[in-house]
Amino acid sequence: MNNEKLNTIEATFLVVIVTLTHIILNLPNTILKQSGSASIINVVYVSILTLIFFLILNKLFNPFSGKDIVDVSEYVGGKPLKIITNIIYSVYLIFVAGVLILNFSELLRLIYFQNAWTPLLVLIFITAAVIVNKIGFKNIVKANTLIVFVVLITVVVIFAASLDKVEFQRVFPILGYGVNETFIIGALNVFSFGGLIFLYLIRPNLKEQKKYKKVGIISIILSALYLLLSVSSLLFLFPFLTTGTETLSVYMSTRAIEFGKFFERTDALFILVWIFTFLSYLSVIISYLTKINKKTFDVKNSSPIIYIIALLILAVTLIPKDNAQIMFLETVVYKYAALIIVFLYSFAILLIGYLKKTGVKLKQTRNNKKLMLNVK
Amino acid sequence: MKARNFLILILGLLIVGFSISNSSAINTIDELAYVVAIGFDVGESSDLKISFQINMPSSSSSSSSGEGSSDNSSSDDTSVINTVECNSFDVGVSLLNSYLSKKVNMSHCKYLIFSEELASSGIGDYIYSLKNNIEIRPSCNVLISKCSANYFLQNSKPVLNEVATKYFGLETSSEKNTSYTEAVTLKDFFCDLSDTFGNPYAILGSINGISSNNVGNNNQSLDDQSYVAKEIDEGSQKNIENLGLAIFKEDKLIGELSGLETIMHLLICNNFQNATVNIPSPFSDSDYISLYIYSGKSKNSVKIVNGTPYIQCNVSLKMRLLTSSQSSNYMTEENKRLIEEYTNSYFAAHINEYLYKTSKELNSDVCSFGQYAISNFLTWDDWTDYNWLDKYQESFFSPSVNSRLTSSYLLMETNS
Repeated sequence: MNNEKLNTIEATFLVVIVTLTHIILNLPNTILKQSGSASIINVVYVSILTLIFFLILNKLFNPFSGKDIVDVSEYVGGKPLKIITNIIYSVYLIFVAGVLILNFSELLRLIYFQNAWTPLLVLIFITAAVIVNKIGFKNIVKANTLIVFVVLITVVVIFAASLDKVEFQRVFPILGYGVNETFIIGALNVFSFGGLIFLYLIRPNLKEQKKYKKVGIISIILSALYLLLSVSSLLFLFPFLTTGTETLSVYMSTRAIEFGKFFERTDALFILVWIFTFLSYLSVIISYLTKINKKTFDVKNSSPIIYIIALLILAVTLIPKDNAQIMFLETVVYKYAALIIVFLYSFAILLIGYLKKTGVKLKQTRNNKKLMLNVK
Repeated sequence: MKARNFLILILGLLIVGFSISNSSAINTIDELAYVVAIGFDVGESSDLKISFQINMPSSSSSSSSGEGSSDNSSSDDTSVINTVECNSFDVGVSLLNSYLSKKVNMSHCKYLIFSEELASSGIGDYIYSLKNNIEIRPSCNVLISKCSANYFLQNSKPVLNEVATKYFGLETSSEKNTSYTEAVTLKDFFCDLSDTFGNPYAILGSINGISSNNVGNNNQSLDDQSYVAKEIDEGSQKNIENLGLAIFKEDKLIGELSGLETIMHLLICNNFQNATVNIPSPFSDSDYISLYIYSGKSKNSVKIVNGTPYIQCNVSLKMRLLTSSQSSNYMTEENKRLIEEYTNSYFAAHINEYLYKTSKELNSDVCSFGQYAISNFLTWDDWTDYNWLDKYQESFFSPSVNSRLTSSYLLMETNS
């Protein structure tokens, strides 16, 4: 069990991988569509909101050292709530992983394997993720750390390479579609930090519990920075009304960049890196789902859970009939699911748990005082 | 346990192997026909006549007649041109695939050529279809041909280059050396077309009957202001001539810019690289002096004055003197100042002329002044309500030029 402990960087990159996979697909596009030219302001704004949210979250988690959200649920509502939380998390993560992998497989099919059968491409990813999960959690985390590092470099490269073609004036009109759309409705864009879900799960795996706050802050800042770079490069490169209609927007920007005459078609390189990213993402999701399910249902052997989760992800990928449905699931359903589960449900559980814990402590202190007075 | 893992690994490898080999087999190089340029004309029996210039894998291959509505003719030994009459681009590709032994692949396409006739009627739908095509790169150049696109492709043999396809691949236009035109890519054109900041423009080209001793013979005078790509069917040798820009209002061709106007356009848009320009000599009424402009930047600003755009352009130039004569002493402080003043007024006049041409005559903001104007608006609704692309016609301009003559070349002073 000790070898499953995460250091600060490993834990941070586990959170960042979720935001990165969404950035590669259509997350920047969704923000641009929502906020227009005010997207940069909106990203900064939601990043600050998320940071504040995490600081509160950290405060609420303080009395539960080494416990994750499933343990807190058990403390709040006993075994039934533990099972409910487990099911909610499992359904949410399986759904998100399924939709993302399907979307990415569609991208691959569209670009390179026009005649391939999409479920087959999905199956390749899932098979690989299952094999990786059989090898072990620590290997997944180490590979993920390496992959995230490479992907972060590619995001910087995309931004830097497009610098000579950007039009910074696209940041105007400064308020985009209006104050309401940027700051009130735009606040819903905190869903971009859906990767926070891992902050509810990684606590038992942390080497040092006091580093939890550091992990959360760094991962949010990193995610915010890369979201900002992606949104900026798209906003400055393309008229945002057109990016609103484009699918695969980040892929589009990789097609637009060139490195002199000799390196013109570098998009293939980015795709290669992204394949590893999605594989790593899928492995991490399966791994954590296995962990929480093993704990909730007291299962000793993790293999059956891995297979079942893999099959369920495969089943989710078979649901959407066309790209429009995939886009709807990714941009609308995922958005509200992330808001409800990450920012409302989990937060509510934690808040109740915190109040219960502090209430119990207060009660104990009062009882102790009463006892002392009686003795006197 | 180990045996089971091994089995899973083998199974995974088999799936990967099967799936990838299936797709890659379809895309082997032997089974693809690489298109290097696509020409779009108004069709005779259908809406569209598309000409595909396809690279020949072997120069010994001979061209043969196509069937149905297609015909083959080659511009040189290394390429073949197939023409298809159809109603849309994608159907045209399918029709071509139907009788070619290879699958058409457009990932190496360098030029999209639209005839003037087709461009005048609007090419927006074709541009959107091309942008939607995963094979066509955004770096593909967009050219408007004064002649038919098919004729352009058939005669696309540039001077000093035997192979047209190599010319397309290596150098799209002479813009880097002359600034008489600008390399406009599909991405640029698409962005401008779908943008609210400005209007699109494209490379203006034609096939000119030209011989080595009469370059520029299609133009009426030697004043470089009148240089524009024109179709002349005389002359023994036909060559590509890319000169000037084709100006669009939304997706329709509405006018063109000459070589000198294009230089002004590049200066104002901050895309200028270098150019050689003749200006009237300040020392003799009948003479010209040649200047090599090697740096040009413009600081643009737009203010909205009483609802009308007021556009200021402050251009700064750095130049060297090319002209020298038997008795010239251009580099004295006084003469330098005189040349700079003449240059300033010459460029200011031409920039003014260019700006009012795009505004009053063409009503097309090809310089995307909208990107400067937009900072005057707080929200997107304010901006769209203002309707910049229509208001541009009401603009008034205030160009100013500040030139600096840095040096001549080898001869500083001559005395006969």
